[in-house]
Formats: sequence, structure tokens, C-alpha cells
Amino acid sequence: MNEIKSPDGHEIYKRRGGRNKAVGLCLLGVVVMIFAVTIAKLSAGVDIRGYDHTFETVPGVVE
Amino acid sequence: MTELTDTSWSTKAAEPEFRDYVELLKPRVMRLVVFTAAIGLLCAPVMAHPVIALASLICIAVGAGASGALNMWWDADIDAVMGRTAKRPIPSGRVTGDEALAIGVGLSMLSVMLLFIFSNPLAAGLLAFTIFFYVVIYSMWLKRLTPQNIVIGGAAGAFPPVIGWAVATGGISVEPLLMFGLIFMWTPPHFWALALFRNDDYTNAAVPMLPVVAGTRATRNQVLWYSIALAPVAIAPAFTIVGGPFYLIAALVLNALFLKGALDIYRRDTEAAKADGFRVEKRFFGFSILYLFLHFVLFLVEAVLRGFDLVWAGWPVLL
Repeated sequence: MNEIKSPDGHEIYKRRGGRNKAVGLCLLGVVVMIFAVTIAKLSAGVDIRGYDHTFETVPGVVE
Repeated sequence: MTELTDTSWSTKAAEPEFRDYVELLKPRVMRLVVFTAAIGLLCAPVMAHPVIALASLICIAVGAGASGALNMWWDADIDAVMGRTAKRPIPSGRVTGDEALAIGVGLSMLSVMLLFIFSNPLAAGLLAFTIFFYVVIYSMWLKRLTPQNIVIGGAAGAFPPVIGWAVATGGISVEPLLMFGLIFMWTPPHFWALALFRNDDYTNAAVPMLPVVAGTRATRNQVLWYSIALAPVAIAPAFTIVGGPFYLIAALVLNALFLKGALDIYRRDTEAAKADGFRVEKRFFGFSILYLFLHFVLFLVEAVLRGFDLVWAGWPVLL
């Protein structure tokens, strides 16, 4: 009689888990990248526009 | 009991690993794309913010990878019959064609949109056009239609330094166009040298590469003619703001060696090549990779020298 294995321990779940972690890390990388670029652009003071148009910095103009 | 514990259904095709997806993006091509795009970016007269430059290079790399995935999706049938490509994720059954299509389209849109936000519309537009050119113009249209597939399709591989330059400057000038010309003119002799010793693969897959359609004699002639045409394009950047005396001297040496290799291929025939296992063709193919790499390293060397103000003021900038 074959030994009964726990489904969670099967190779297919390990593979799926590893893939999910890697995809999660990639998504985290995208978030970090967007955040870093946002900070870099804000620090340079270029083309910042509020959604309600109440706040705007025009490139080259220092207030 | 056997029925309950039978796990033979869990084939690898059903559950690919993450590295299978990475392989789908053609990491070796991505490395070359990132390298040439980075050189285009670093050689530009305007210095991009390091964070924006890095983020833009990641977008360019992902865009290149996405076009690689779409190429593998479209070419899965011919990849399966060629020894060089039979172990790719789709023909080997590790990833399905639908997955490759979804990844390719998804990453294409993501990379172009993010590059648009991070840098400028020109760079994003060029990346979008490059993906379109490689997937639609080269893979879907030209590759199976004409032996000129490599000549025209080479433009896709030549765009990255132009995109890098556009990220930094927001425009295009003669310098990135010469970098484009260098890769564009280098591509045919590079791939035709490969096709000479991989002729059987392309014949089996019915891909109309030049040796399959026009024969190996015509291919050897074309390798020489394109190498002659390549030399002035490769040397010309010496007389622009991205070149200089170091570039000129090294480019002259590299092009002399390239022409010598092309001449060796021209003088041989298939019998001689088969007798020594295509030694000359394989050596030329290997050197062609080094040739392109060193040209772009030279651009970087000249950029570093300019950064330290170690330029010869009397150097003629003609273009």
C-alpha cells in the first residue's frame, strides 16, 4: 500500500510557493522603484501638479 | 488507495518555476540590451538623475524581456525543431504559449507606461516601437518570409542605446544614430556567421536564412560586404562628442581584425569549413560579440575621460 502524503508537502506546492514569493518580491521591487523615482522627482522640484490644481511647481521657477 | 495518492497529474507543465518565466525573457539578450542602453545613457551630454536612470534601464530591460517572451510565444513551433532552441520553456513544455503571451503583453505595457512616467514620451515611444518592431515586423512578418530577415530585424537590437540617450536628453542626435548604425550593420555578419555553422537547424525549421535560400557561397560574400560597410559606421563615432583618440585607435584595430575574419570566411568554401568543423566561422562569430562589446566599452572609456576633463581640446569633432 502506498504511503499517504500530506498534499501541502508535495513538490507542486513547493514550486507554486517559490514562484509566488518571487513574483511578490518583483511586485515589491516595482513599488520601491516607483517610490524612489517619486522622491527623486519631487526633490528635483519638477512638474508637480495637484489633482485639484491648487499646487503647481513649474520647471525652472523657484518660489 | 493508490488512486487517492496518485500524483502523476502534477506535471511540470502545469506548474512552472519562476526561473522558467525568467528564461522566457531571454536574460542573455536582456544583458546586452541593458549594457548598450546604459552606454547610450551614460555617454549623453546631459546626466540623468541616478535613480531615474536606473529605473529607466530596468524598464528597458523588462521591455526587451517582454518582446523575448512574445517572440518565444510566436516561434514555439520552429523553436521545437531547432537544436539550439528546443530546450526553451515553451517547446520543452514547462510554460504554455498562453502564459508566455500574457507575460509578454503584460510586461510590454507595464514597461512602456513606467518608462513614460519615469523619463519622457520619446523614450517610452521608442521602447514601444522597438517591442513592436521585434515582435511584429521581425518575428511575425520577416523571419519566415525573407533571407533579409536579419538585416531589417537587426534594427530592433539597435534601438537600446538610442532609448538610453533619449532618457538622458529627451531627444536624438547623430551620436545615438551612429550607435544604432553600428549594431544594425554588425547584426548581419554576426548572424550569418552563426547561420553558416547552424545551417541544418534553420533548414529543418524552414527559416529562410541566407545560407538556406541563397547558399553558403552567397552568404560568405555577404559577410564580407557587410563587414566592409560596417567599418566606416563603426569608426565615424570617433569624430563625434562621444568619441576621441582612444576610440579611433581601438576601432581601427577592431575593424581591421573584423575584416580579416570576414575575408577568411570569404576565401573558404563549405568543404573546407566542414573539414575543420567550421573553426573559422565559429571564431569569427565569437570575435564579433567581443567586437561589439569593446566598441561600447570604448564609448564608456571616452565618457569617463570626459568626466575627468581628460580630453584633447584639439580633437576634431566633425559630426
